[in-house]
Amino acid sequence: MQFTDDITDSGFFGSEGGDGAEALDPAVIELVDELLVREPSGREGLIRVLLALQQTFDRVSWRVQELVADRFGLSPAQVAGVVSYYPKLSAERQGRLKFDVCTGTACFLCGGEGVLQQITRAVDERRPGDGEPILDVRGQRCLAVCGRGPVIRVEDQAHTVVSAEVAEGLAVDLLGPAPAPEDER
Amino acid sequence: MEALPVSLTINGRPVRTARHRLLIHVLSELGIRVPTLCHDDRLTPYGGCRMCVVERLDASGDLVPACSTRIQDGMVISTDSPAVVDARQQQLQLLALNHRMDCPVCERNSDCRLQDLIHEIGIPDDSLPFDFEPAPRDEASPVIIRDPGKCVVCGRCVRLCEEVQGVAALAFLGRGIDTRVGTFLDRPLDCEFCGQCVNACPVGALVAQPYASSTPVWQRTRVRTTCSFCSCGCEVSVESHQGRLERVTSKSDGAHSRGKLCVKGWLGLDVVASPERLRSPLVRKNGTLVEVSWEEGLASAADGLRRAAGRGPVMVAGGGRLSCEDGYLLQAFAREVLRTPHVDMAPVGGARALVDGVWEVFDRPRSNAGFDEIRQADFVLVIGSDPSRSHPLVKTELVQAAVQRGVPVIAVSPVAGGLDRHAVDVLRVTPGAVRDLLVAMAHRLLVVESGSSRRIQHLPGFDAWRESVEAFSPDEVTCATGIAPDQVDRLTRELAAAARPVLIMGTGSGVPGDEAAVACAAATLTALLGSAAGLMVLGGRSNVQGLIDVGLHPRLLPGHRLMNQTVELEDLTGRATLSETGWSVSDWVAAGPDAASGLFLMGVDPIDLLPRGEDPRRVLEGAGFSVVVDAFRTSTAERADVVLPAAILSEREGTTVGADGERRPLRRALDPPPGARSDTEIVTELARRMGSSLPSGEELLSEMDRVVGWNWPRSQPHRLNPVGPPREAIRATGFLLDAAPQLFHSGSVTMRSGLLQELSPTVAVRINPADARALGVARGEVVAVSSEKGEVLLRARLDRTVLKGTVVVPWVGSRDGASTLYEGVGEVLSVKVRRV
Repeated sequence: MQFTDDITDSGFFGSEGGDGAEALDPAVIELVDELLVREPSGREGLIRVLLALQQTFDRVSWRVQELVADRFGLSPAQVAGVVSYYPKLSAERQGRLKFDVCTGTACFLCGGEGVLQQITRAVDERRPGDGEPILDVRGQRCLAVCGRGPVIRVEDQAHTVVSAEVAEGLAVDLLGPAPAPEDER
Repeated sequence: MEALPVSLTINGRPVRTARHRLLIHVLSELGIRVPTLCHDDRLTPYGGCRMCVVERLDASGDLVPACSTRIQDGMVISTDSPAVVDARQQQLQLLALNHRMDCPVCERNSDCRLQDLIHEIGIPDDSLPFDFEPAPRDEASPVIIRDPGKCVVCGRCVRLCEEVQGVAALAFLGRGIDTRVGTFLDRPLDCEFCGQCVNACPVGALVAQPYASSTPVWQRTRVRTTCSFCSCGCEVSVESHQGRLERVTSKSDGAHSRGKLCVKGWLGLDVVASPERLRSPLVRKNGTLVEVSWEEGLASAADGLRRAAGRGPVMVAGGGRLSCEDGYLLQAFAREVLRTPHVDMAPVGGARALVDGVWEVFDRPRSNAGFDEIRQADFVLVIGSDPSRSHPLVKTELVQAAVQRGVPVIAVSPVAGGLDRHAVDVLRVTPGAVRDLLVAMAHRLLVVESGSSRRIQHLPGFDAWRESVEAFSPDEVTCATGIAPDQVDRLTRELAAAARPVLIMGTGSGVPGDEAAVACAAATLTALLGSAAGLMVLGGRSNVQGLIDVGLHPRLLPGHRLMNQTVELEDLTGRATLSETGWSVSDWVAAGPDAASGLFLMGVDPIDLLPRGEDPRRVLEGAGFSVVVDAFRTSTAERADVVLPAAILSEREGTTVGADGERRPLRRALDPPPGARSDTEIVTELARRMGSSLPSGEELLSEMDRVVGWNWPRSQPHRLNPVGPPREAIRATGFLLDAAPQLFHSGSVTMRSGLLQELSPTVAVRINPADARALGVARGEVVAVSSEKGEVLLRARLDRTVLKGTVVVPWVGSRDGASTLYEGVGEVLSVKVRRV
């Protein structure tokens, strides 16, 4: 099977294009085939190959899942099932830092939504050009400090009664100042 | 008999039984019904829904799922203790919390396992608040609507798709409470549309859009009958209300097909309501066909046939889907009423394989393996057309063998097929060289594994046969077959080592190679492998085997009698028949336009079935007088003098014989459109008008039982025949044409199904994207596919499952199909493809 950008008609095993328009890098195909030689075959090998790919690329993209499915004689849905099951595997790139903002009722009422927006904006401004997230911002319900909202949690450290300004300050501390526009690639 | 080794106590009652059984099976044998949503006997035990929990009193009251717990000696089980009832209620409540309860307007109202269980078991009074999280319905897929809001995540769809259908289009995505059933990237379903997921769904999470109906299930008429699309002979349950087809389902109890379905059996029945159905007899007047009454139609037909029979030979042919009763009457009508020996079935795959191939070796023109043999096989070799296209039930059995039991399945095919993914080995044999490969394997068995061939040394013809296969050493035929000698060696060794090997041979128009020669080689190989080996020839239409059995064949009388056994036959029927060998349909076409003075075709469209090279059009136009009995105005009907509209598929009563040799009932599940009559009625009425009487009703059935016999022992090898020389290696130029049977289409009937056309249009050529790019062809563009014989214009569909260098074209199309490109059946064809 070739991995190209052809838009195809019905072929039984998910033969339409992949995520985005990019074709798979031949180096990725080579790596997968190399892993296949090293790892045991069957389902056991599948998880090990997926873990190795996750470590190399920080994710197992949809395209790579299709390739792995083809090489293991599985359907892409079967591989997607495995990737979506294990917390260590993910189709999207994971940030190195996790920023949880409480959006439970209490926090929401005292401004949690504004905090979430501020942090999201601050993080987006600092995102490198290739779109790699350093930090994942997630709304969470709830972080169980309802009396002292809005609450945010950064890498297991809770901050209470956070204003939008404080939130941005935390983001700056973690990520540094926003890059000047010309620095953007 | 060995004493039953396991003793356990169930609800205080001592029970003794065999080892390793699942608790749920032991319980059901005792008449204890355990509620379950996810259990399915066709699948690997799963234990997902936890509704079937029972209490183990011997293990401090553990609750164990009966569906996935194997019995142990000394187990003490309670199936109705308070702990069990409580656990079931709690579990049911959790399922119900995430289920959208729109029962009054749900398709599955009164046909829903969850609804049943809530009535049966109840939800505790202190139930948790309703906590439904809405999820969008997937209405983007063709035919199937998925409603995650009703899904109970029992996974029967996911597991059937993987373990039985072998497609795995559906999977569990996510984990824990977020687990849902979905497709890759949430794309619309792009699968084989077998409908088994919908059929197995216990709730309304998967429904078929074409069968959306406001008629409650309990108001519908349900008839269990045998599907007539292919020779698997699956049992289907046809639901209708006031004459309208409501739904086709299949129950997993009893029948050999175990509740399985395929796209044709599930959806193809919509052809019965096609606007193209003929509703009135047609008679040619002043050059055009005009509608007439049945009285006039039958009178014209009887009169014309009588005169034609007086002038010269009349050719009689019946379609491969006729029932055994229709076939029997048709051959009697030809031989006894029209007094013509020229009677044959439609030129469909399988008839020659059985009569001219299998019968050369076995004592009957019948396969000696069926579905039970496949289920017990420890090695399966698949040759000829791909069963995943032509015989979906056989394919599911092979997938189950490979996936669930780890049985090695070897596919021998020049083109890509649905089994490739599950086969341990796929041999890309040169098109048309399957016979040579089989003979080379026989040669190998003879030389290396001489022990296994001891039995056949006593068969008549052994020495001549052995001499003839000497030219077939694997080294010598490698050029012709394209399979390396060491591969042949390995395969032969594995086959010889298997205890219960089964060979499966698919047939059909467009399959390269002479099917009779392939079948003969396969039967010989089976004989060499010993009495435990089996061969199953898959006929190209539902009743090929049955029609051979009832003598709808130019060289065979009913009950496999030869032409010198007419006296015996006449003694049984009390009517005079003929002892003369007649023409086959191909003989008649080859004999030219003036050969026959009359023609009686019942459910056959030679123009669709025969390749262009045989020129059926010219011959049809030359026939003096022709009567066509069909449901549609086919290309052949267009050229007839009288056309009589017939009942088809599930509108008929009778019996049919599957590829496994089992005779099964056809029951009338739907009424034919007003104006159409059954084939039996038409033939007996024509005979009556021509002054003869053919049996009908009970009389016909008892005569057939006497004459045909039906209860034959398993076929045995009884002689061997020398094989012809190996063929020359051929070099293909251009694209290899794959016109073998398609999953969605088998001929002129399926071609008229709106649903099947929607899923897979017949005006398309499927081509590998890389080939398309090289040709500069984009998807949807019109391309010309041409051979020396003709050219067809088709839309290009890009498909990665098609091998490079191959193009797939259906044998018949709504305009013209691959049949117009062929010179003869079984030809290996290279075609040119160009952009138009």
